[in-house]
Amino acid sequence: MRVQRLVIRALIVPLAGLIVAAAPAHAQRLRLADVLPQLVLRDIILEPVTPELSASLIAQGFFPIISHEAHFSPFEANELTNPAVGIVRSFNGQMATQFATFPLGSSTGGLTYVFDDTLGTLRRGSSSFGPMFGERALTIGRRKLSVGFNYQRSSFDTFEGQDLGNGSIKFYLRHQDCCGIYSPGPVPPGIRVDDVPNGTRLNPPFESDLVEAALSLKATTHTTAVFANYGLTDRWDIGLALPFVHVTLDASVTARVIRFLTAPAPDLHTFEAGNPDATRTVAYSGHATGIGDIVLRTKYRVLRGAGGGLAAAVDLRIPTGDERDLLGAGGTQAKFLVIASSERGWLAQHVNFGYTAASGTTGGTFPGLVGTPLPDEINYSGGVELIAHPRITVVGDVIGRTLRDAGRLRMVSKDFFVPRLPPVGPQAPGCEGSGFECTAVAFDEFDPQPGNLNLLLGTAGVKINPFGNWLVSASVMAPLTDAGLRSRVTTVVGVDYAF
Amino acid sequence: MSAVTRMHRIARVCLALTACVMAPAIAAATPVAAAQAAAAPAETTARETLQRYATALESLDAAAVKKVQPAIAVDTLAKAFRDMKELRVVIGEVRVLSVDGGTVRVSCSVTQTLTPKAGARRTTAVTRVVRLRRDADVWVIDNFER
Repeated sequence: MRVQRLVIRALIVPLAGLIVAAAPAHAQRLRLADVLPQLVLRDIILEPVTPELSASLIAQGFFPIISHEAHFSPFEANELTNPAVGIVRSFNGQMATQFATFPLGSSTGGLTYVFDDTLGTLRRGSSSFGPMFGERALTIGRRKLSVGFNYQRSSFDTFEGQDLGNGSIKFYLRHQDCCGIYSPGPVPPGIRVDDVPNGTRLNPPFESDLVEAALSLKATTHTTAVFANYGLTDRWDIGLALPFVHVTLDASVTARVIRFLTAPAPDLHTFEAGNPDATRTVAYSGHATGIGDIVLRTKYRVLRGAGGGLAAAVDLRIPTGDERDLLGAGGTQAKFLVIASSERGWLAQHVNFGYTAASGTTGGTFPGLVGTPLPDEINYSGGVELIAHPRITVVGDVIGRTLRDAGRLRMVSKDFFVPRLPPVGPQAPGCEGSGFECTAVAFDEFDPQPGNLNLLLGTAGVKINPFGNWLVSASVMAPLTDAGLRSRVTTVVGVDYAF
Repeated sequence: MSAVTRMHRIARVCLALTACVMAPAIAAATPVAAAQAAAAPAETTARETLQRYATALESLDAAAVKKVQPAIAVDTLAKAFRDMKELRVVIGEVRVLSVDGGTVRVSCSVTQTLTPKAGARRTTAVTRVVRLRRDADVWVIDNFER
């Protein structure tokens, strides 16, 4: 009973703290899933055109004298067809999806003893304490209960091979197709400005300017997941995983004007009047704490084998976490899993194969930004457990996830066109409709592409029975490919107690 | 016929009638008594055999268990013993269910207290039905029926 009280105290105290800390999450002005769209698509505003600047531009023969301050801000300009919107939407959706569906460690009731009728005595269910992230076919045993918790820290470093923290991920904000049509009339020569977009972002020529928005992002999750597994029968387990998630996000975007045709009048597109090279940095730091997506589990051992057998399992992930704060996926996920495992001597093996059906959307609820559908997944994993000592198991796992039709964001070299003055006519080759011949300038930028996203993670860890029925585990997880959102190292520590 | 002679005759008839009435009961009582008579040494034999079995289990020696229970899977049992630090076995409530030539079926309670190498001490108690058989000069466990 004393041990039980200790366990309860160990679980309740930190959880109570997390629940109390969760309260301020709802008081935040900007939800974490909306940070990137806010910074990249709304907050990058140019210096307004002052009356003095207007007079100066008129003196230089520029038309029209209107404010350009929101012309690189698709949301402020209410221009959702801007290509930057689609890119940021894909980026944000993938970030949110992978953030909230990052694998949780498993609790497999590592210390189980069962009465073996054929042997006439008790024997350990398995000499191995089980895998860290995968599942094994072994069930906990009738009326057996194990509880525990895992603490998991992930600090996300790269996205699709690009460093998240050093500004190497750049978005190129196109000027609003605000106005202007080509007119080969005499005054002004070749250029007429009005408020009718012509679909080219080249006419008037100042529309060819770009704003480069370099993103620096530091995103960290701390997840404490409480587990409980109970054996309804010798073959049938039910379980629950209740994650408490704390997310911190520090994002900044440094913007600079890439000036193609406003050099004679740099203040037309500038972040600081009189300083054509000025940059502007917009930043947001925030955090959120709360319950993540609760997972309900059940597992049934279909076939018994040496130290394992064959089992079927279902994990139901319920959208209890607030997806607007990256605490949950924003939809329901049902994972159907086939599990095979065996044990021979000092080595145990396990393989899992499954499919996750998902519903719902993720990626925040930013006005004007459509959420990303939560993708179905193909899940596979395999690993070995080395029984180094009756009290020590060393575990290695490979975890694969194929996010079906989640799309990829690939860094590609894109051509941006710069009109060559003077105008030559509507049928100018290369930039038809603009009236200009063009020069292409290339920049690297993410490009949303259809297809599956394959994620592969490797884990290594150890489970130790220090005393009694306690089990302490520690592991590290690292991505094996560059795909998607990566945490260079995820650390997991956990404690289990078997009753 | 004298009164004495008449009384003797009546007594003989009564005895004969009593014998006729009681004969089936006496005849039925004989196997029970025989079985009871047979069970007494069988129970002793069973207790001795099961005690040897308990001692063998406590020794955590699979080969010793095999001597009492020849059909045991020695390798599997040895593997189970490797995870044990100590095993205490108490077998009680031995009750003979049947005796059939060289075979005895008994019911018993088996209480085991395991101190494992990993994990906390735990106790389990089960009721089992054991079939014992005579193997040359010794009794051994043929199998556990449940």
